[in-house]
Amino acid sequence: MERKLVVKICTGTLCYVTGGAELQSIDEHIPEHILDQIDIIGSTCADHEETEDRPQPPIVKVGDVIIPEATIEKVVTAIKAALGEA
Amino acid sequence: MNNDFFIEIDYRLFHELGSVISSDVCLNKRGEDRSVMVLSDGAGRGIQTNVIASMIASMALNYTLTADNLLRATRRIIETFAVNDKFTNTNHPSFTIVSIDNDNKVKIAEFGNPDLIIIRDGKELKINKKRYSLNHNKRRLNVVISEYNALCEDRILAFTDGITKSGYATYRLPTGWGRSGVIKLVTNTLKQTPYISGVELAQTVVNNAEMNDLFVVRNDMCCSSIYLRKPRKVLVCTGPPFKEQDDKVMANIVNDYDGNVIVSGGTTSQIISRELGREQTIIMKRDSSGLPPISKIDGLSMVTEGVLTLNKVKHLLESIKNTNIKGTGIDANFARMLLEHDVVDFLVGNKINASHQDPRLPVELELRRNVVKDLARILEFKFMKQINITFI
Repeated sequence: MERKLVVKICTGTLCYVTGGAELQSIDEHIPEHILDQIDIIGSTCADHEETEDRPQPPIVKVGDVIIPEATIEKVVTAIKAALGEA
Repeated sequence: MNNDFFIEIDYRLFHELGSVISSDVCLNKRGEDRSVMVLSDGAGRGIQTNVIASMIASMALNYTLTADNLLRATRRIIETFAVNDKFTNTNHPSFTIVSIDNDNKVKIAEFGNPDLIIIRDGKELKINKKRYSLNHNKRRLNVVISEYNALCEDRILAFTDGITKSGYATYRLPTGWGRSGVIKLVTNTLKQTPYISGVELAQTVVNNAEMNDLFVVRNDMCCSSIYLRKPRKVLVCTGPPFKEQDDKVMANIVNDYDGNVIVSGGTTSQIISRELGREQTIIMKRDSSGLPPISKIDGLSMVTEGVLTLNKVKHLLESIKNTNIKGTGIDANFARMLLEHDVVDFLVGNKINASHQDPRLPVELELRRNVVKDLARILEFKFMKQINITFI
């Protein structure tokens, strides 16, 4: 079975108020033909909050790549790049 | 606060048709040593009777909360209001005082209102009553004082004469519904729904009284209902502990809690998930409230985001006028769950998330402790919940 690309969207408070709320609708912006190749999940962002050089919120992780100050456009581009569609 | 059971006190009231203000007033308050309910009927209609009923209820409530002698309280109230000839045994303001001590002793004073009803095991409980005849300005006024020891699942219903006189002169009830009619309805209702809440039982009584009057209410009707029951408890766990070594303690409190548990906070839920070894799944679904999504952890009733959600729940509870919450958003579900319980325990982690204090962020990101303090105040004073707050 083919492994899906995991897109992890932070739903923590800080990420949510700094633009993460928009990212909830990311599935509506991803081309249909690649939608079944990805797995969109939520996460809490405690992993990043306590570090000095933490990435700026909102944070999305596409595969192993962390996207700071994530926007829908940035995330869609990163997904396409990860799937070799760019 | 009573330690054995929770005391639900509530009432329902219908105005006389065409009247904008009621002559019936019901007040209740929980004190350190006892809970007190007063039902007062100003006898008549209009603003004056409402003012009289409100003053009587307020006097009786405060007197009973601070002093322990119901007969003396009753005498003082009668002396205060029996200043004119209109105050006779047949036409006068009336009142019922019910005081429930923390040791489960119930003390009752009745003046003028129909005899209250005590229901135990689905039947009316008869108790010994002492009748006192008070002399005042050459008039004799009868007061009934009684005491009994309450048990869990007891119900006490007090009502004004608008209830017992409902249906008067109708074909079905030519002499009115009467006290026996109320007892019959209450016992039948309890047979079908033994754990019906106090407020729903009071609503059932006034609805029936309204129906007796053929839906044209001819006299103010008020029914107050007291229900002594095992408390329904909910724990709201929010915020990471100040010291990391207390993470385990917090998780154990959540695990051992004998009631429903709401975990509110991303980091908090991570700690609980990690310490209890239970997987957390975030439900990626946009919510009508605009709040961050909820997640699921086995054994917990609800897992939400922290400060934003608590703030929204606080504002919702502040704005509603009764306990009937509409809506299906996270905030509505959270608030509904709080209101469905009698005891709300807050377990608040004291660690402050420094990044939330960035001045560029919305003001809703207040300090968690302040939000919890406000929420607890609303639940305690507006919705009469028993509140316990533990900081960790």
